[in-house]
Amino acid sequence: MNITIGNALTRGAGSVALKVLIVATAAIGGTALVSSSVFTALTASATNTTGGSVTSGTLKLEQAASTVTGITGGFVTAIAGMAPGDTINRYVTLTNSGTLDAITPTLGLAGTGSTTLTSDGTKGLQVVVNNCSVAWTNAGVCSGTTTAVMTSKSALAMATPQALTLTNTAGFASNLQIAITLPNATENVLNGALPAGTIQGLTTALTWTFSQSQRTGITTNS
Amino acid sequence: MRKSTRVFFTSILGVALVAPIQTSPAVAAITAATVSPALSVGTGTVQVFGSSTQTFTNPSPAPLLLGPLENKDRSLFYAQNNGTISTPAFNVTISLTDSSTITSVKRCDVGVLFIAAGVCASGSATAIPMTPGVVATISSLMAPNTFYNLELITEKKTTATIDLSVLTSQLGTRTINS
Repeated sequence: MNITIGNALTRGAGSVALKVLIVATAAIGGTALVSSSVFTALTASATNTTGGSVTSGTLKLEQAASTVTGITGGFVTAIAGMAPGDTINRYVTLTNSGTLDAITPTLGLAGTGSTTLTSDGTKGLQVVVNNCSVAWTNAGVCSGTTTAVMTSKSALAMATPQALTLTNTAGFASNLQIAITLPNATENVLNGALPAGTIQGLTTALTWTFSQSQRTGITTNS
Repeated sequence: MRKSTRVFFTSILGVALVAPIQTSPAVAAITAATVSPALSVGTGTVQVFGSSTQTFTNPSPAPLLLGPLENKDRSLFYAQNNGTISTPAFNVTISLTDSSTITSVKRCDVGVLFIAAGVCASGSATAIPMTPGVVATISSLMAPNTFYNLELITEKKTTATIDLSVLTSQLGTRTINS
């Protein structure tokens, strides 16, 4: 830049501009200098060299038919020829096989087709669940302590999962007796003709779903 | 864009942003489930009927008509079960025309035929007290595809209408561990 060329007025204006430029440059530079001091401050950190492992638990639920000879039908072996008044007891071991305790166990039931067995809350199938502190015998006897897990519910009601009274600590196995009853609604079979809406001669396939939720979260100081 | 339109889209955006935040605590809990195989459950049938011949095919779900029966002549009929369930008892009602009365009703053991008046091929005939028009219960087990041979003798010439029935309440109760 040549500031010696031009009239006085031009020189005067250029001088002011130059001064503004110098001041602005100084201000920016000063600011940068001050700002840079933040990044030049010393820092220190500490990192653990051992431990510090964090693992999450697991939530698992498993069912299996009883292994006691004579009562291994579980939910596998078909039930045929039920008569009104019949109760079929099946035996299932339900295990919370994860590492987390669980809460709110439920049992739901779904049947194929729309037969009276599952669509009629009175004439249809009824289910009761009991637990034995030890394995059930093949005569249906509990030599330990029997507890009611679910009072009588119709298959219709169990389309909505029903609450169970169960111990759900991690690793705990329940010895369940599932009692499936066909109520004895009186039907009169006259001259070999089944009455309308009969409970006889029907078939459905039942799918049993046990479910549970993880325990509530906890805060631990350790 | 009109103000109402802006408000509408702003509301939609707000719901989209806020809703997941509000519901996230509810869906955060883990659940575990175990589902069984499909368990087939079937009910049986108990179907007792009467017929003039021994067959396990029900000719008609209607009363059995016998007659005209001559007085003091014996007439045979069969009570049969072509269902799939055993019944420990069944009911017989015999109605007669012409004010006739029943002289006797007898049966042989299950599956045994009469070979002469009051004489069974094996075992002995069992008398069944009966009154016309009144239900009589025969407490004898009748399994599926089995029959009883019955003998009816009336006092006068008549036509008999015979109804056979089973109430499911007669099946009793049973518990099976399996």
